[in-house]
Order: sequence, then C-alpha cells, then structure tokens
Amino acid sequence: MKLSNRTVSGVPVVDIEGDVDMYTSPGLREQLARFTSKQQKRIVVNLEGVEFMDSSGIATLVQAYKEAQPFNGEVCLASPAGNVLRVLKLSNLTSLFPVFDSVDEAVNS
Amino acid sequence: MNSANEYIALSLPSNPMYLGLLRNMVGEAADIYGFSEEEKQGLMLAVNEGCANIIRHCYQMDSKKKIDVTIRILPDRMEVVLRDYGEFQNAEEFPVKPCADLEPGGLGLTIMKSVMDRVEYRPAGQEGTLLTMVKYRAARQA
Repeated sequence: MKLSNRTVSGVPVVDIEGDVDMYTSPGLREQLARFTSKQQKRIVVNLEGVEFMDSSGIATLVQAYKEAQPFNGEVCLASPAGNVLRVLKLSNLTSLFPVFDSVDEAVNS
Repeated sequence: MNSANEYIALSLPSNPMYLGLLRNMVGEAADIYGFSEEEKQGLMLAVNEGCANIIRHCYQMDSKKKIDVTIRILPDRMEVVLRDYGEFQNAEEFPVKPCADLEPGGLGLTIMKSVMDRVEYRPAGQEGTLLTMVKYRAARQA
C-alpha cells in the first residue's frame, strides 16, 4: 500500500494505492491520526486506488471518525468501489461516513 | 473451467504480511474453478478475515506461529479450512456485531458470515481450532 497527501482547496486529501489490511492499516491509521491531532475539520480519504479493504481498514476509518468527533471533524470517503464499497456496506458504515464519487465532490461539498 | 475434487494446501507463518499472498492464491483458485467475480471477492475477504482473526485473537499477534490452509474444490463449492495451534475458541458463539457500534474488533466474523454460505468452528484434536468456510457456486446457465 502506498500513501500520499495533498491539499485541495485547503482540505487535506489522503490518497491510497493498494490493499488495506491488517498488515498495511497501521500506516494509514498513523497518517489519519496526524490530521485528526491537528483538528482538521475535514479530511478526505481517496479510496479510488484501493482494490481490497478488510475489517482492519474499516476499524482504521472508524478510529479516525472517533478521533474527529470531539472537534466536530468530518472524515469523507471518496470513490469507494467494488470490494471496498461492499465491505463498507456490510459494516453499515456508508451511513456513518459521507461518501462521494470523487475527491472534488468531497472537497467542495 | 476446471471441475474437480482437488485440494491445495499450504502452511503460512502467522505474520500479517502474508495475508496478501493468501488472498491472491484464493483468488487465483476461484478464477481457475470458474467462480464469479463477486464469489471470488467474497472468498478472498472471508479467508483474509479468518486468518487475521487467528493472528489477532488466537496468536495475540505473535508472528512465529503457524496457520495451515487447505482449499478443497468440489463441483458445487469451495471449502477453505484454516487450522491454528492455539487454544480452542468457538468464535461462532461470540455475538455477531451489528458493525455500526463503532468498536473495532469482532467485525471479521460478521463479514465472514455475510459473504460465505457456511462458517464453522470446531476443535482440532487436542490442540487448536479448525475454521471451515464454505462457498457454493451459483448455478450457471449452460
């Protein structure tokens, strides 16, 4: 899994490439915690390049959500598809996270 | 498409870095034996979750243990058996989480049960647990 950061219209975007599983999710958790610790009001997680996500990845997103709650922060998911969207639905998390078709939509919502 | 009564077996170290290798192997087997893309993704996810549960709950993240994997392909289904060498825990008796309770952990079993047709835990003799997961192939038109 590869992670990279960028800022779009002032909103931090985390781009993920590859699989998010028990082996790789600690890196993502660390990355997201950097933003939540700075109390970023909105973080966009770009899932377009993710082909596989398991419950460790889900737990990582939930962790970021919980860390953002005290300052009313928002973790937005962009472009989940295929297996990733399936796992999010199985976990009933599509109602918890704002989900968008693209990074631009997530940033400008 | 192959249709056979064949099996594939391997042993993996209980290190999360091998989960991707295991997923790929299951995915390749699903392709070879004509499972649909959705069935294949479900198989890969369930086997990944079963293995991750063993690493996390049974072996407490000790990467020096062993997990035996057997994939049996039958004309109508794929059976995957994961064997660990820890203390027997019947995860089937654990409550199935509604997922959105926001507490990490326990979600793996919920996912496994959602994507597989059968998930069964039983003791493996005097030591360890056998986790059997079965996925039936959807009926195909000739």
